[in-house]
Amino acid sequence: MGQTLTPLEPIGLLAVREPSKGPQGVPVNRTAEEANVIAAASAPDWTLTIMGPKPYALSLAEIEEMAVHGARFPISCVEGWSANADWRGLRLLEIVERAGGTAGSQIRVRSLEPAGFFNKSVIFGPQLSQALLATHLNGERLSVDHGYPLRLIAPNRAGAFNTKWLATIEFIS
Amino acid sequence: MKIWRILLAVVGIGIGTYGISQLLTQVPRQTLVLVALWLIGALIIHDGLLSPAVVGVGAALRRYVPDRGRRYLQFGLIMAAMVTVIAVPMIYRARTQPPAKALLLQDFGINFTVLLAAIGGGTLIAYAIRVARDRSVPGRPPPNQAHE
Repeated sequence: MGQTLTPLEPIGLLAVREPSKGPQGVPVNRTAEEANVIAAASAPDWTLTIMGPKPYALSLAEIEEMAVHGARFPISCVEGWSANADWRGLRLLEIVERAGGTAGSQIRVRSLEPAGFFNKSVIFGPQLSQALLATHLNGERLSVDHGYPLRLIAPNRAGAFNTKWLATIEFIS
Repeated sequence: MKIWRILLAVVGIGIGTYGISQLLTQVPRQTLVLVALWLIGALIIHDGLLSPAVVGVGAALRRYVPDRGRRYLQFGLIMAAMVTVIAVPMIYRARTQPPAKALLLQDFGINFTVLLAAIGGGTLIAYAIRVARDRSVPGRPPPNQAHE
């Protein structure tokens, strides 16, 4: 109780998870420590590499400067919780178009996470058009558990596919 | 009717056989041993502990608790038992997860106590209402005075 119907959270006396107690108001399913990314994610020389027909890279400073688009998207986890949040970041579609892609492209994003099922995900179609590469969550810079320096966030998508700690963006087609 | 029964049995046995064959072919030997232990453990706990306890408590209630109060006490005990089954693992596992997951952070011991108090209080109030009603209905004296 209170994990999906969040107004009920205060009376969920035996609830396993309390979404509002997560860092920055949103719970985390996989921590940075579990994903083994703390060192790589905190490196000041981190860059986002975009490997398209016209490849390029963005530094941390450039990313921060471009992060001006806001959106309210939920994270809906298959483990039985969901949480709405205000996100701010870059429009993924603009990044893809600059590399020579279109709204019809099929994109794969990869995490700094060295292993695991969810260190990458594929995005295309309406999700690609709406997706943000987020730097801010509920008005604050992303914490490392939420995917600092940069994470994917898009609607209508299982929580685990909102890949965190992004490193590269690739074109499948 | 008979044909339906046979049909249901065939479908049920078929699905069961499929499940067992999947279990034997898809699951590693070591896991199967654990599954077997779990099933035997469940059997022992259910038939060896829970069932006798429930039957024993039921018999004691019938013997020592007056008719009018018994059903309220039964209701309270059933509710309390269900809450206990859910709460005990939480109390045991509280604060074992990374805090960022927002998991198992509550003080389940206190919350469990609050729930038990609410169940006890609710049961008492319901019983008190019943007693008050019995008194106010004319021609229906409360059972403890009926045989005086």
